[in-house]
Amino acid sequence: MIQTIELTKVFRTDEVETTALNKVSLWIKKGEFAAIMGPSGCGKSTLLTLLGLLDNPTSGQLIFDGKEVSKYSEKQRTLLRKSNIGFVFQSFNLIDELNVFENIELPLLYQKVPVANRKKMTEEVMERMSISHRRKHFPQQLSGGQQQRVAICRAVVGNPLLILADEPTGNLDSANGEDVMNLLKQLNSEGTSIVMVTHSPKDASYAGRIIKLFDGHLVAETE
Amino acid sequence: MFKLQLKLALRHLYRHRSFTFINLTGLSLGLAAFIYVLILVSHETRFDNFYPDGNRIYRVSSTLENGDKRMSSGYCNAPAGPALTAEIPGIESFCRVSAENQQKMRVGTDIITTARFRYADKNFFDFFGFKMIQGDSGRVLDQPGSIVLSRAEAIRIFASKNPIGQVIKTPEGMEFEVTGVAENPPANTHLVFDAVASYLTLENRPGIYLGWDGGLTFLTYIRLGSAIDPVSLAQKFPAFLEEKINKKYRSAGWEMSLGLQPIRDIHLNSHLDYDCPTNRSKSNLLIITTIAFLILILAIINYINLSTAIAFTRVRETGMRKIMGAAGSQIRTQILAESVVLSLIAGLVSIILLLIFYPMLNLFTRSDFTLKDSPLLIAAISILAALLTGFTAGFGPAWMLGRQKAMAGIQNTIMGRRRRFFRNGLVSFQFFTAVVLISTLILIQKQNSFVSQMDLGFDRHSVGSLNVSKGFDLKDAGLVTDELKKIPEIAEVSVSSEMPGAGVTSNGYSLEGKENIELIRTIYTDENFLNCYGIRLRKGRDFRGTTASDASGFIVNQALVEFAGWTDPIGKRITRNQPFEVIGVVDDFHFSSLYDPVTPLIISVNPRSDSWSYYFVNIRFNTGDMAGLLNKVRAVWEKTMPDQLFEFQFLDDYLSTSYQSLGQNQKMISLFSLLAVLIAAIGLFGLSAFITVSRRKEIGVRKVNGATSGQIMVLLNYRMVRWVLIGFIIACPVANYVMDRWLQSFAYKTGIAWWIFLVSGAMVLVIGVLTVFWESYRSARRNPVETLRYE
Repeated sequence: MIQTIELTKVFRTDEVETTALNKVSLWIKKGEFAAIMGPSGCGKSTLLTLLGLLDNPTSGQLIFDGKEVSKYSEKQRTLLRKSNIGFVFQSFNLIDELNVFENIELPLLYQKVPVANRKKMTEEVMERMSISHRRKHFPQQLSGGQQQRVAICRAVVGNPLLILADEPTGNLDSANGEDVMNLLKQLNSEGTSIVMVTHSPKDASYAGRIIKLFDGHLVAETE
Repeated sequence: MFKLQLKLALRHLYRHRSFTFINLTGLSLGLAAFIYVLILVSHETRFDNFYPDGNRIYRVSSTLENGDKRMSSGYCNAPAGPALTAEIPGIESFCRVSAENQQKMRVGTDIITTARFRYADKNFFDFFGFKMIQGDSGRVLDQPGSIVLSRAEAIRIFASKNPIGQVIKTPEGMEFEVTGVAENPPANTHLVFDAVASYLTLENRPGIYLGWDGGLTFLTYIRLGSAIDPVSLAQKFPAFLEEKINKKYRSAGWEMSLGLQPIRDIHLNSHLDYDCPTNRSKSNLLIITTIAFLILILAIINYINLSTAIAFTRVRETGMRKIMGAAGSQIRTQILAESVVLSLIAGLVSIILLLIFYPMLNLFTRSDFTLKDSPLLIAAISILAALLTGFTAGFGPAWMLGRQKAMAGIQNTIMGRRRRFFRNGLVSFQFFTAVVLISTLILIQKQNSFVSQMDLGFDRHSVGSLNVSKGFDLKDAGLVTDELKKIPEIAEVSVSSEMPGAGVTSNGYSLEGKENIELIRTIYTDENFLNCYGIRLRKGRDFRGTTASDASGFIVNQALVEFAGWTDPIGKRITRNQPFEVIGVVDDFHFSSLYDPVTPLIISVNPRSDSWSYYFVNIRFNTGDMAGLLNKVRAVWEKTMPDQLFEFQFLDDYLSTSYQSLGQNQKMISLFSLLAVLIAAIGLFGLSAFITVSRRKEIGVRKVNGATSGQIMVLLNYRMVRWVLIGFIIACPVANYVMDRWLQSFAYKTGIAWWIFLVSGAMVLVIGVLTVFWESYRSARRNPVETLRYE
């Protein structure tokens, strides 16, 4: 589903050049749950942003669903991203001005899904993730676990092919963290591909494959 | 989508309440000022646009020329209107209207003053289409002594009584019968009136001369036939005038010419020496409009500054939206929606502010429109102004956040150097504006105090005048003055035709050594005048009383001596009907407005003439007990002049009020300038608050590493001071230019002092530091653990 060939990302400022990702080649299959692990600064999050089409690589190829997309413009990437990829972040990143329902509905709005469908899809996903009773609440009124649940709802509401999760349990206590991991596992079992960045071996154990990065290099893959 | 964006905008504004409050205050004040000025300008430009066939109505203006001297007037000789209509084909009709004057009226036992009293031809109401409430518009002014009141004046005088047929008497002994009531004239006419009396009244009044020699006394309007070209019509005027008056005038060196002004041009485009008091200059409107624009721009800058400052807290949010699939245009629409919603709310608040404050503003701007005049126009102006403001203010932030890459949602990148430079540039611009406006304000004050403390050449502090509205001759005057002189607190009494400081009328004289007849200001008085007013004699002698030499002698001012080019003025001849001899020269004193330089003046006593009328009894007093003095003067007045009103005015009070009205424009400019400075200060306060918040982490780190609160304060204020200085340096030459231009309108002016710049710079700096101080103080005092915990 996603293939990277010698994917490289270099960040340059006036004085410093940092190679965050160095010739990483990997393949994420449809329906797979992969975890990316490695120490701080090894390039995990950079890899995730490239896989999520949030940024273009410096060199190398990125093949998404059979198309080479590494040279896509921001507009093309947006188009591809909004109907295919859902994101879950460590710090939830819900929009404070929107309530639970509206936060979840947001991607559908940008996909120009008609109102009736939008409502139905949002209701369904809320029901599935057991957050319907909080529909009118605003992010500030929710616990961390609940916020992450909403963020997951938002990530899956458009039925994306792929969910990218960046340390989804990083800001949660262990009970809530487990809860979130179970949700992701459930989504994966329903057919959604998931790539997750994590520090936690426990979280990684939910994944079917672990990809290890060190200093921008792919160092190991374990099934 | 629209509903969502509206909802989001409202929630955003609610969540950032302090930001919203600051912006709302600035934008509301800015919009209120701006909308007010737009309404004012639209009112001013729609002056005189409602007369039937108004495009065919012209005012006949006149110009008198004598060598390089030129005097233009909106008024004409009384016979001009009928003679033009009778003799020049193409003129359908004419209407003459006198200047608006105050007129005292006796109604029963009460005496009231009608502020705007005019005489007009009998077709006045039909010619101009002013609506009648009672009376037949064609007949209400067709008799001598008939008078029409405006609705408001009729109610003021007669309350609910039917005014028709009521008789009004004046203290001068005239009688008028009310024959009609007219609807109040609209606010956008230069022909305002409270009462209009028939022109025929004047024809029957003794002492009124309505011939070609009677002076330029009537606004004269003519209506041309529908296909008549005013330019070719006016070409017939010289031949017409030659017959009527110019042959006679030319013998005295004068020549008269007439012109035609479209009636709609009078209000803003007529700049004649003598014109309607309601007229306004376009440049004045331009100044107010400029300041109003500045105010709005300052408010918009506040918005842009605060929005870009706050934007960095939104980078994550907008990035997140982009990750969710939002296009740049959708983000921009969202940000624009916020500013437009805020502006529309501000527009609403500004209308409420206007409804409350416009009567006060009207006092400042000498306008009398009401917001009820054209509610649709005002609503349209307000909505348009608010929308325009919203789009202008929101454009920058929308563009900035719309460009943001989706990555920013994760990285939360903080804005770059260029953007900060832009924002600081805007802050400098605000300081720049503030320095220019404050310097101008200080200069206006300096000029005002210069004028009020200026040596006028006469004693203004211990003189007062009784106004004799009917006028009296010397014999009557003697009755009063003899009695007044017996009051011990009174040092001197003098009667005069004019009061210094109030302006003086002119007569034609022939000066020795000059060929032409010259128009020279003349005060008729008695031998006590110089002593009474403390006017200094520099050569020759004062009048001595009823001697023959007084009657054939004039005292002149130094300006006249210089004008005539006399080296030895005493004994020089001045001729008017008979020769007079200069017996004395006085120092120049300011007998008219300080806007004008002192012109030549003749002081004459005419003791042998019984028929001459004096209008002022001037009293020089030597007491501080004004109330006691007034009581004694009143007692004498009521005893000797029982049928005359008692109207006493201290010269000091009179001059102060007249300077106040001169200063009306300055007041308006000052008011708007203060508003501008206030808005800039509000914006700075908000900006400093947000900047301090955005530097919280840095402050925390600095404190952990040993910075003291004082050092933090210096750090936070230093940058602001730098931008104030930049604004100040650019402002100085601009302020100098503006002040110099402003001073040019005065004949007597104060200087532009260096300290004005220094004081205004210091004031702006203090305003800046004070607004930044509180936030920086709070931040500097905060426990660093608290700030670092956020990270």
